[in-house]
Amino acid sequence: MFRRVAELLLPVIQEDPIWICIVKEPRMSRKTIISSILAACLVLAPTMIRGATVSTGDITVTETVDQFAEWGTVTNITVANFSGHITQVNQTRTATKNLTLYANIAVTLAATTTSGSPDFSGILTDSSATYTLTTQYSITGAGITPVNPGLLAPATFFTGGNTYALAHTAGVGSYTVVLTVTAASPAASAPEAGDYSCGLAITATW
Amino acid sequence: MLAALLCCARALGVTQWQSLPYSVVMSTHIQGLGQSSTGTSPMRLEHDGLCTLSVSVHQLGDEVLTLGGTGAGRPTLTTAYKITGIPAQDTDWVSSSAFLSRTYIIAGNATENMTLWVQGTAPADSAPEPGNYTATIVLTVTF
Repeated sequence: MFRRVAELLLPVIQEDPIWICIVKEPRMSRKTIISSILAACLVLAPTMIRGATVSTGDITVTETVDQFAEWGTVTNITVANFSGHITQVNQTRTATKNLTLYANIAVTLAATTTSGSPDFSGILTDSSATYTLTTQYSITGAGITPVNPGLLAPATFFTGGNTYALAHTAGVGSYTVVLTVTAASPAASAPEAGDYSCGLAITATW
Repeated sequence: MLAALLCCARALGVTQWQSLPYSVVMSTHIQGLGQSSTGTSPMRLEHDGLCTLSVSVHQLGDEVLTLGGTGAGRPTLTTAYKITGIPAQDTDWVSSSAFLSRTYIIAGNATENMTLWVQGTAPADSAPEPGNYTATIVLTVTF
């Protein structure tokens, strides 16, 4: 049967340049040629199968995300953010600023006065650094638990023990931290006219 | 003799991957919003003729870096791939979905020293959950 198969294959493989070299070898008898074809077919069978595949198996890819927190773009609280100008004594104006904190871990928030200008230790102060407005702060937001709730004077708000715990919810990577600032004029004296400013920083620690 | 030599020469030509298994571990951890990290794996393919390289997964989604492996609803990283080192190499990153439909024609009788590149990128508007993100793909050569 093998001899018959080889004879059938002979006209086909004679078209292949490689096999032509075999079958055209002048010193080879027909029997030798057929024997060579049969032997070669056995050896080459796997490589002659078109459409065969070979795969790498699973290639695993691994990436690690560390725990981190970072603030989104933070802009200043300007006059326009306040509920209005102070136009009389004993008047309170309020500004709120939504700060975006990206975090994949629970963090502790704490406020500090800035070392740059303006500083004024968190107290709204006029440009001559002479006159001040009564200033208070609060930090609120979903998932935020304060040590001291409510509006706080700078002396309390900026102390080391005054922190705000932000709980992390799995799958939530963006939080809104609401910073509220109030400015109040004295009850018995009209403050000097002009812009009052100060600086502060809020730090997230984990 | 001539026949024997030719038979041996042809029989030695095979199509196979060398130095399996392959894996990719990213060079750096992601520690910030929108941050990308890249990893590579050298791959060596020996082939004796025209062949086609294609990409597949066991189930759709396996190609995406996912926290704790595949699973609907799990946090993911934007994942991109590319293969270099062959004439039909990618010149830019290919999204994970597009990568699944990529095929690479490789001609000739040679050994290809290819590189599989993978890039994971954190979202730009949300911190991804911390932990190990994994993806699994399979490269298959048809000849």
